[in-house]
Amino acid sequence: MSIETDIYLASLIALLGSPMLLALIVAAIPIGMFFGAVPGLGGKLGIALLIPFVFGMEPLHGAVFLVAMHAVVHTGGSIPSILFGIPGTGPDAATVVDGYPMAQKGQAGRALGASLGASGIGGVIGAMALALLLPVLRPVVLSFGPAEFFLLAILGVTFIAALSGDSLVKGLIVGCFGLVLATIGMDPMTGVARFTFGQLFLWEGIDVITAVLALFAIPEMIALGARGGSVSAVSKDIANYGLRDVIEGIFDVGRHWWLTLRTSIIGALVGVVPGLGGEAASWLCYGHAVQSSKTPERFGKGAVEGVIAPETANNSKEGGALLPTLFFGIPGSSGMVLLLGAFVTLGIQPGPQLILYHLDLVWTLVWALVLANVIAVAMFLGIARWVGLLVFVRGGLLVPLIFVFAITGSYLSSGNWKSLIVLFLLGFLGYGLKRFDWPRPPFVIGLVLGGIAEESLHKALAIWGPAFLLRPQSLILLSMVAASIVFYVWRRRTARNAHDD
Amino acid sequence: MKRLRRPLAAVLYVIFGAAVLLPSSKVSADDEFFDGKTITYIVATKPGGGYDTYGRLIAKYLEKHLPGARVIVKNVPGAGHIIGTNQLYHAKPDGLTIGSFNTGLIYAQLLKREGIRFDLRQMSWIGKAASEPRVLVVGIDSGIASIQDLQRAADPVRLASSGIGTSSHNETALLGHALGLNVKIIPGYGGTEGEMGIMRGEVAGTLGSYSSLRPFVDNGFGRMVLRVGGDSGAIGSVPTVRDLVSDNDGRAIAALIESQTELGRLTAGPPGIPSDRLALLRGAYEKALSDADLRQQANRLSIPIDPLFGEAVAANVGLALTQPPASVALLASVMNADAATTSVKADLLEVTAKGKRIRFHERGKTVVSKVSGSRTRVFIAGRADDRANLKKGMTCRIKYLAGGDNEARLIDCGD
Repeated sequence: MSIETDIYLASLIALLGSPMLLALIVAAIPIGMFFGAVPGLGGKLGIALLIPFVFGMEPLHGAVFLVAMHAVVHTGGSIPSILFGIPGTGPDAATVVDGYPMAQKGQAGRALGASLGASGIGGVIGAMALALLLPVLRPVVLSFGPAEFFLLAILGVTFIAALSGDSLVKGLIVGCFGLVLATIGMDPMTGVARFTFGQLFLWEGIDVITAVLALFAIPEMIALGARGGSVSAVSKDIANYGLRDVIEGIFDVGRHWWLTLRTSIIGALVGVVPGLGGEAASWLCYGHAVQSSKTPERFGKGAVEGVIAPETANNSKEGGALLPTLFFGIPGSSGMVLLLGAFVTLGIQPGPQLILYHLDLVWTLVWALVLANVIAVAMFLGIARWVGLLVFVRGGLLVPLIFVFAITGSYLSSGNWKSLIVLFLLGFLGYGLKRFDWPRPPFVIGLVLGGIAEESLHKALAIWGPAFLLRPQSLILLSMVAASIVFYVWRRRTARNAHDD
Repeated sequence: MKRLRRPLAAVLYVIFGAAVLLPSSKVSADDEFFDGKTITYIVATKPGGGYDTYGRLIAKYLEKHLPGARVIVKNVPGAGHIIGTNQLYHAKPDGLTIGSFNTGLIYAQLLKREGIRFDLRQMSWIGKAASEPRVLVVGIDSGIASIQDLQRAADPVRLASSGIGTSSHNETALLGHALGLNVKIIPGYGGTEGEMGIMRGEVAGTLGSYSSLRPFVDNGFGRMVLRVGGDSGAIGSVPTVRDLVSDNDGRAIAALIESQTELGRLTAGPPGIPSDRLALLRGAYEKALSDADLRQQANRLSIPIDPLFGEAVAANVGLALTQPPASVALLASVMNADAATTSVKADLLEVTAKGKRIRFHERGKTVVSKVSGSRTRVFIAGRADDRANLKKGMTCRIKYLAGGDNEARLIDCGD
């Protein structure tokens, strides 16, 4: 045990003592935040573009640079989510739901601070989860198979109820619509193209970034354009955008420390299990925050927990995803696929030998992850004040700019101009939903989780038959699903009773 | 007469000189055709994957060996490489657009998959950059030690594939048929999910390219029990499918998959590129792939290089696509069939609703089978045909899914 403690500390000291490594981390942070902040770019593109640059570097330097860059992508992604209602990356969509209303109420600074603090802490806890899970890594990762993915997806779908706001029926309809749209594409189970209307570009289904931009960014910009004024409905004089408010937001994370801890761990676990996808982590945690809150009706209107929960998950899942990538050589997420390739070209061979022969490298990467998250908070604090001012920019200037970002983001993400048609069609839908007060998050949940649910269900049935529900892990998850539903019903009942009194 | 000779000679000299000089000046003009021009290299995937890496490396060195030219990479992803290949096929054949795509599209073309608007035989082939031997890997704890275990298995062994219609699925089904393996293919395991599935024990193995499965094997998680292609040196003592097949069907399948493994990372242009420009491109490609710097870069990226150029590639592609109708029918039936299909040779007793329903005898009972417009493969006299042309009295080999409306998978009629 003492040997391991030595390695923890030794690699940290080595990292802190190496000006080169620190400089690389500091250089990587703005790059990572940039790729997160510009909608549609994302961490994957960042890694792909940086691989030629790290090519000549020492393996350790290159790896630290890439890990640090990738760690802070979602920290940057929360900026446009909060300020403009445009998700910087897919997983940041959940931050939009409460972050943007906060900006509209003049609390942009606080929201940014909360997101920043949450990202930082989430990233640190995720990295620590990486460390703590080392001994039990294999059984944990290997216990999640198609059956568990299916049930986790169903669990996420039950959150639709929690996220439906006032009307469960509306939420379910919108959620089902999302599920239906998730079926669009070439089905790997039958080789049949479903609902593609003869369009090749729909073979991969509806691009999630496009859908999220369409449902959140476009309606908000239309509304802003129609309403006039600026994002912040509250005038500059009384709004909170100063450094003090950003720090206030960071303290909010501390105030809700129990939620922060829970969502960080959930996020790390979702990240550890390859196959669930990045969006699942943030939505699952957002849904969890709504469900576990005593006052769920505040969500969607600017509840700070709605910013904290997804943002912790976004960053902690990166720590989790690094695990299977390093130790099995099996990428934990699509971003990790590229990171893995980069490691190989740097001469690092991921696999069990890393634990045996290169534990110091692993620990250095863990610490790099931690440091990157912490330094990002500090760096961002420096510019937060000016970033927060953006919400006071006149709508007339902002709306066209944001539209350009949305269009660019959708095109970059899907690689095909025809997705712009989808963007506008879904944008009208989103506007309609907003106009008539229908909830929109259930749609995204249905879209994101529907695909995973269906594919996992087919695989599970093909492997075990319907008996897959009787496996121990499945039974645990089934009871969680049941508990989730019961909890919701009970809450509605007590709320209604309280209302009637 | 003598008086005419000098002017005549002069005229002849002029004509002769022009005849000699003019063509050569034309040739040198074409040598410089690419000078100052921009070539677009289409990669049919999103940035960041294997095809993108090869594409960018090749593009860089093509530029080096085509003086004055610029080569830019354009990513055109979607529909499993089909969108990019369609675009490449229909680009202007002036030599300024070339690109790369998945060799597995050969299967797609053989099976006439929807969405395909190209004919690989017509492409202007420039070369290929690598060989991609396939290996069948089983989990180290799966209890399977050799390919014979799969042949002798009492219960179907589960193997993972990316999805129906993908190369990995097609090849797994073909090999299963060729070697008589008792396997059940579970689709939906894209990317590295197959490896995770093996580690979790829900599938016993998967078929994939050696380069992508090698880390898994080297890390001790799996063992190779079969290979297709690849020289023995690199993959040691793994048995190859050629050694194990015994009949014509098996040999045809082995040859088809082997041709796939040979033709990795293809580069081609649209049909009809003028031959001189194509020659320039081929020449530059050959120089690029023989360039020591490129080899060194490829080494560092860990991407193998095993090139073949121009005509040889065109010939191989042509061969792979020229399968006798019987083989195509075999491929179709193998790739579309699953364990539940029943196979029978019978006369069509009745054909109704313009071919949507057929009736035939099977082992003493009458079966009414639904013929799908999209899912049933119909062959008449060896050629793919429409269900409306099925006639009562034809003698056909019918493969159908017993149960429900007995949907037919394959109807192959000889008359």
